[in-house]
Amino acid sequence: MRAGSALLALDTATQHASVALVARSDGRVLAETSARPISLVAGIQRLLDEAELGADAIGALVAGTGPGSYTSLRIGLATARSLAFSLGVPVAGVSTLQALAAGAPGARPLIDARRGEVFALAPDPVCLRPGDMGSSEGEVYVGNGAIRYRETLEAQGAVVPPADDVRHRVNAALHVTLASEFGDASALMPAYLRVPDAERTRKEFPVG
Amino acid sequence: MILGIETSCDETAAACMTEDGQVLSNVVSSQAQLHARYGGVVPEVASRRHLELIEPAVREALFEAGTTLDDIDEIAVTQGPGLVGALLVGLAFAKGLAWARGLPLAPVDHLHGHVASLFLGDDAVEPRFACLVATGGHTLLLDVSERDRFRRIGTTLDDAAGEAFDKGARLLGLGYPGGAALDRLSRDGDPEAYRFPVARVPGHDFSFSGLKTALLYAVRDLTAEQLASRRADLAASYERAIVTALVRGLERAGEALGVERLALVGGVAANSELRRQLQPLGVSLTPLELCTDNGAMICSAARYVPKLRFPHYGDIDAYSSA
Ligand SMILES: [Zn+2]
Repeated sequence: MRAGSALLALDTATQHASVALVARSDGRVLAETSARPISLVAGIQRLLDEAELGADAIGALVAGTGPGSYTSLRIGLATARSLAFSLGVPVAGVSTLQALAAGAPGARPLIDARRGEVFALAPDPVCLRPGDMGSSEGEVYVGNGAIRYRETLEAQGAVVPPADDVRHRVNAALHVTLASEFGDASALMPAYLRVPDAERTRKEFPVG
Repeated sequence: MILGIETSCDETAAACMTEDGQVLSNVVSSQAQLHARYGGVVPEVASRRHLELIEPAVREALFEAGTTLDDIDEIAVTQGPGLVGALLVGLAFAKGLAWARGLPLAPVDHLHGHVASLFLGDDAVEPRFACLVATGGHTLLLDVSERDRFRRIGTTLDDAAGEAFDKGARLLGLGYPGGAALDRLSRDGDPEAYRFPVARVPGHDFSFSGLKTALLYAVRDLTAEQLASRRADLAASYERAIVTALVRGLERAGEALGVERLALVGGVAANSELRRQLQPLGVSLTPLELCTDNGAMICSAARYVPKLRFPHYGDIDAYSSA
């Protein structure tokens, strides 16, 4: 394979970072794996080894922008920014919620937002309590938020597939099909959806 | 050439340094203004800002050094102690650079970085020496026996010295972060006007909470006009108490270790009263431009720690405490 002929996709919105290497020519998945976010570059190296490629095969990046765990997301996006800069390649951001939805047609994706809340599409990404989903009977939910709040959702008549169902998993290879605008890494920001607590509770301090 | 990255607290910093310790650039993007509105450093706010600032800081450091990534031989990065979420931004960025460029990575201890700010320039300090690390987050006495070896012999039991300065400044209505403002105001005040307590703690530890309470009591009973007229005296007396505790602690550490050489590093080393008192004693002081967190000190320390080749740095995580 020629230099720059592969796309590297990564998503660290959940505790299992997903990474995939995809051929730019035909969208074929060359290799995919999951890793702890902290070991992201080790995961990327495994993919290249498996595909028998060097880092110079990476011609563009696709990164999941969440929403999800903030610390974990920042590890992914800091890595993506750093790779885009040091390899000199463009990068596209993709919503993790949109990617989950694309991998589970007909189902609604939920990502655990902690503190009793989930991130959902309505149709734009929002943060709400699973009890306030207003589910209709038989509606299917996927993602780590769905697994975590299975009881609440099922009490509303919704359906949550078994925890080992692949539709719950963020799959970075799917991100590639959703990536449209490739550009500068500085545009790559996490979808936070929540202001820091300190912003909500802050009192006015005189600035010294 | 070493590229150093530091994101442990509220400065996003990057620097370029030659192997023999020549600092070619030292870029510090301070977030102080951003955190001022919260009255203190907010970890989540800091982490968000680091992600925005890290690449521009690295680009600027390379540009100012008149170089590119192609000339970098090694990446150095702060691994801890500090705010984990903040550290992870710098660590992830550094791992990405090292991996993509096939470079070794040197994970650096932040405190070692402060100490290593003394190993630069013509007046490089040679171990063994007793070192006071005084910052917004730490007040430590270290026995530095080698350039890569130090042992902690004392710490603060409550607030860090920099924190004590900032809290005092807030009580005096100087805003946040007010350590520098308090220092400036103190020059117009009488340090003997108030007798603030200097805590005597067994061993080599410090305590500043009693002092802070004493200032609170002194300020509480004053009307706005009284406070306005006494503010400089209060500031000078408060500063004197902190400085006395630090100077005494450092001297006693030197005596206990039986070492002549004493040194002061960290953000609080920029305090003018502290410098004024320590200079005549022959204490080595970090150059002013290297007092606050910066990338050059991380590059400096990196020269004395093992460089890791991939995959050996793949799994390393940030750590929060010393
Ligand atoms: Zn520091």
